[in-house]
Amino acid sequence: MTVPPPSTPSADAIVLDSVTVRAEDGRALLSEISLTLTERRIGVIGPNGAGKSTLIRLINGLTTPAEGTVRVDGLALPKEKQAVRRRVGFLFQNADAQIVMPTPLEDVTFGLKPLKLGKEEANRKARASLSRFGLEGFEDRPAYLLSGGEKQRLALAAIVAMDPLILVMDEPTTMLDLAGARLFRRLVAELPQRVILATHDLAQLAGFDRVLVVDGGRIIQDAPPDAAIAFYEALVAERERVQ
Amino acid sequence: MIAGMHVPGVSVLHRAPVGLKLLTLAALGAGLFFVANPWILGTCAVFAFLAYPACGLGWGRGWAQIRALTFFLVLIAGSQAWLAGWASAAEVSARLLTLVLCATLVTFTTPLSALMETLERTLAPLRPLGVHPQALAFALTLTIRFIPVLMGLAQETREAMAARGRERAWFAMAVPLVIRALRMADQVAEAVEARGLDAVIEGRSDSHPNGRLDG
Repeated sequence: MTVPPPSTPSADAIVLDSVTVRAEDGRALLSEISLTLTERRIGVIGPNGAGKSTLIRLINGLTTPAEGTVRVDGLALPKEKQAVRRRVGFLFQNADAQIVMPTPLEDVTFGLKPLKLGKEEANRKARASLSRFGLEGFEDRPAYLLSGGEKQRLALAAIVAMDPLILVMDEPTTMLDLAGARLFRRLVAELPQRVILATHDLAQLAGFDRVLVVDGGRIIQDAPPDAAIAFYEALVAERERVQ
Repeated sequence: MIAGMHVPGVSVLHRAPVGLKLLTLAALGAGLFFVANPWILGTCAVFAFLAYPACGLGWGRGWAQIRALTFFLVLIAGSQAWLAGWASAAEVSARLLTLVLCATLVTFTTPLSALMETLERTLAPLRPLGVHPQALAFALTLTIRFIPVLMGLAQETREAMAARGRERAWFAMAVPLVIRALRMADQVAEAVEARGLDAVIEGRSDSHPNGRLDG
C-alpha cells in the first residue's frame, strides 16, 4: 500500500463538478458545488442541516448527485463505487452502528475480508491496528462494553486497517468527552492518509490545511482554518444578533 | 451476555474444531431424547456443569446458566409433574439443563467469527438453490451483536418516558423504540456499505478483485 508521506501534498484529487444533491421531495441539499480537493487535511464546518454530511458522503458514494459529477483520484462515482470505497474509508458519528461483530478483534478482522488476506495475516494486521489506536488488550472484550471513545477508536482502527488512502469522517467526536476528543485529534494527526473531517468541534481543525464553511447547501467560505473559523464564528454571531 | 460470550482459553474444547463441536452438540441433543432414566440424565447435567471449570471457565458461568434457567425449569417441571408425574418432571428438567449447559459451553469456547465461518461452509452447498451463506451468517452475527445495543436503546427510551412521568406507557414506548431501531438498522447498512463489505456479504466477485490495494 502506498500512502503519501505526511509532508508531501498528494497529486491525487477529489473533484466535484457542478454537483447538486436533492432530497426526495426535490429540495436542493447541495447546490452547484464545484471543488478540487488535494490537501492532506480538509475540514468542513457549518450549522446543523447546512449540507456538511451530504457533501462528504458524496466522496464515498453514499450519496449520489442529482446533477454534476464526482471523481475521486480519477475514478468516477457512482460507476466505480467499489474501487472508490477501497480508497476512501468513512467514519460515522455513531460508532455503535459501525461495529458489526461482537468483539474488537473480530470486527477489524471481518472488515479485512475484502482484501482476501490469509487468516494469520488478517489477524496480525487487525491486532496491529487495534494496538495503534490504544486498544491492545481489548481484542476479545465484548464491543458493547467499550466506552464511547473506545468504540470510536475501534471504528477508526477497523477502517485504517483496510489501508485506505483517504479518510472521511462525519462528526466523529460528537459523542466523546474532552479527553476522548483530544486523544482522537492526536490519533488523526498522526495518520498518513488524507483526511476530510466534518465537525462542530473547531479544535479538531488545528493544523489543517483548508477548511470549507457550508451553509444552505453552498460553500460560503473556503480558506485556511483561522480565516474560515473566524468567518464562521462571525456568521453565527450575526445570526444570534438578528434573533 | 449473549454478544461477546466467547471466553478465550486453551482447553481441549477451545481447541476442538468448530464443526466437530456443533456435530457433537447436535448428536447429544438427539441422543438425550432416547434416554428416559432421570438418574442418567442428571449425571449428564452434572458432567456438563463440571465441564465449565474443566475448560477454564470457572464455576460462576455454569451457575449463571442454571440461575437463568431456574424459572423455566420450575415452570416446566411443575407442569410435567402435574401432567405426568415426578419422574417425568425430573427427566425433562435434567435433559433441558444438560442441553443448555452444553450449548452454552460451545458458545463460551468458540469465537463467533469461527461459528460464522462454519455456518458459511455448511450452507455453501445450498448456494445453487438461491441461499446466500455469507448473508445468512452475517445476519445471524448482526442479530447477536445488536441484542445488547437494542437493550440499551430500550433502556434509554424507558428512562426518557419515566423522566416525563410515563414509565408505564408501554405502547407509547414501543413507537420511539421501533423508530430508533429502524434508524440504527439504516446506519448499520450504510456503514457496511461504506466499508465495502456489502459485496463480501452478498458473495459478489467485485469485492476487491485485486486483493490488496496498492496506491
